[in-house]
Amino acid sequence: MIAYNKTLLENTFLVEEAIDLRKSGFIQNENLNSIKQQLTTLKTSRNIFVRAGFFLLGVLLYLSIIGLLFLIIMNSSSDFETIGFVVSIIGVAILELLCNQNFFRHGLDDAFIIGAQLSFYSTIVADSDSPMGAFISMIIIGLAFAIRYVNTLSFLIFLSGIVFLVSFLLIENTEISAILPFVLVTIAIGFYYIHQKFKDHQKLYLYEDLSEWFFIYTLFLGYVSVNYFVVRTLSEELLSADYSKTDMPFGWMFYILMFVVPLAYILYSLKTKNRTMLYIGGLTFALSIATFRYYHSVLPAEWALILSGLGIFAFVYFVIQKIKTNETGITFQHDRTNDTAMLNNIEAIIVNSQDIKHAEETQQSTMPFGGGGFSGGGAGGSF
Amino acid sequence: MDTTNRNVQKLLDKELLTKEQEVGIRNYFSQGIFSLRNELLFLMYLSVLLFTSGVGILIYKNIDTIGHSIILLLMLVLTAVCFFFSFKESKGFSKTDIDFENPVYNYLVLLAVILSCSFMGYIQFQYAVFGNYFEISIYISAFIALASAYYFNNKSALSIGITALVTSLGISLTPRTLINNDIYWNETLSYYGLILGLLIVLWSIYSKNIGLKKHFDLVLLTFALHLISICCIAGLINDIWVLFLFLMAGSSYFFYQKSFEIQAISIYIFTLLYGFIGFNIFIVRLLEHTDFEDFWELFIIILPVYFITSIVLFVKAIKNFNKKTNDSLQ
Repeated sequence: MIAYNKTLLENTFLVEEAIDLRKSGFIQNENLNSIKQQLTTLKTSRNIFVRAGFFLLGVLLYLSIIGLLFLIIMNSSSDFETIGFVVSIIGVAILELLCNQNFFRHGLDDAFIIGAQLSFYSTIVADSDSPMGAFISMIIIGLAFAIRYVNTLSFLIFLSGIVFLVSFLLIENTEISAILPFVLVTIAIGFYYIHQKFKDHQKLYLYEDLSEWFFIYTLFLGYVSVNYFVVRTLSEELLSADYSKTDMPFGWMFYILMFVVPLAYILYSLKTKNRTMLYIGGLTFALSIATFRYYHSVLPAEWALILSGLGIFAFVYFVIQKIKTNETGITFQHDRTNDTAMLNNIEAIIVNSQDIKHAEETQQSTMPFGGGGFSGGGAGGSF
Repeated sequence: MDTTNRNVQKLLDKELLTKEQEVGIRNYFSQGIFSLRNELLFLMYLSVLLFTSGVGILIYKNIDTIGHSIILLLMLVLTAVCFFFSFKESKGFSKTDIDFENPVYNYLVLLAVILSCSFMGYIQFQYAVFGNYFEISIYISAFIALASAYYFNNKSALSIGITALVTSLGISLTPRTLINNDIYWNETLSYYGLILGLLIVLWSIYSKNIGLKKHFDLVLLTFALHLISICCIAGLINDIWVLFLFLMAGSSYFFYQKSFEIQAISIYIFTLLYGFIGFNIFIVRLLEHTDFEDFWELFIIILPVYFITSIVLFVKAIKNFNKKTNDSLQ
């Protein structure tokens, strides 16, 4: 079922774990080196730049192979409707070859995994004039690729296929398309239970990464389906409803849910000590505030910035005072498994992207404005 | 947690971990430590940026009203208060990497520095305190930022200080202007920029020798690299490009070596990129002197090969870097 040698695949994950342990200082360099020497692994690119570089190379390779083949076999009587499938089959053939050579999350293999699927789906859409076939093939082929090549992106394609298919059927074939947000929430909850059920399954330990991303996808799906902006825009687009005078039905509920869901994520993540969920909670909370300000300019931008700055400062200060003395559980101690030095450097660089008004810049800008004021900027932009 | 557990167990079964190591790991994880340090400090940083942006907009919106002198006064008071508490809590100057007892004060220093820069910029803008010598107000801002950076051991302040210096030349070197390709340029700026870049490099070497804030190296060199490289590229486009070619080659070599020394992959990658851009400009300048009509067909054939070779070399170079710097971690 899996295209790779299972022992080698497992060794690859074990070496990754050992690297993490070394970074957290649990083992020494000598240990890590001996682990690396004794475990034979697949060919992987752990560095994201290297992987991206190989991905680019893979795309070029794929394109040139297809180009060459077409130069040889193409003539005026060629059947254009099936060319896309031929391209996919070639892609899969090369992919199998690469798997045989033990390329795993290397970059080269990624190019063929993505390329083969893209060409397949787009050909189906082009041939059948309906996205339905593409959604169904996303579900089938996405899952097949995810299982056989232990590929995360294919798994996300599979999940998106399900979501798209359900939404499409609901909008095109029923009278009750307005309940789409609730259906999507139900799907998200379903995904969540499936994830909970299978995440620690003994036989699925090779699919750890997929499980992690399954979880992330579920959280985002759950949030997006109740976000006021998404719901409103979708219903304006799909049901051609007009909400310029009145609010949409149940609008207030989405306003509430939009803030309740991120807060629930944050609280639950603190309880279960799940960092990924915490970040998603924070991010979606910020998105909700931006959404709210998009529809209601409650405060001028500058006051919103100042007050939110003060609010966050006070909040963080309060939390730090509260957890400063904790030794276990949620603490403020240095984190062994997380790098702090990196954060400092990033902060030092971001600070410059801010507009600190230096006299020289403002000096230049006085000329065109002739010393006039900058009044009347108006609020309303989100930040 | 379960994954780590299982993997640790497997490593133990293969006798790749000792029993003590395994016990150490399990003990740590069984405490259920969930540190929010980085997250909270980042939020604090964000709050400082939000607040100062808000204040910045507020001042410029209230020009010519009665309120603005009050705002200005409040700003000054706030700056003074921030500096007061920072000095009170500080352990004093040290050449090494020391930190406040409570890291929150780092962000108080940052707040004070940004506010005082805004203040200096504003009083020059509105009251022209230094007449036409607007550089003076920038130099004062730079001085405040750099002094705070070295006294309070604050990298963000260092970065603000250097940006202020660069601004005083008339170059606006921030990530945003870099991305938007928004840099106003002329030839004299290239020379000024090169001199400042060189000074920063010399300063970093000097402070390394006397052991002064060695950990500031990365920030200093990042600025120097971008400043020097951009100036060189601008120079390469101009008339006297041969001179800049040698400068560029020299600086690329220097930063190439330096990136290995301080193990900074960001410097390494940008050195390669700038070097590659410079090399391409050089090739184009050479082609200008040849009769292009003769071999444009060859050129079209070579081009894809050239790009693929570049990518391969780039990938190899990064692998090589990882191998040499932290062999075991990659």
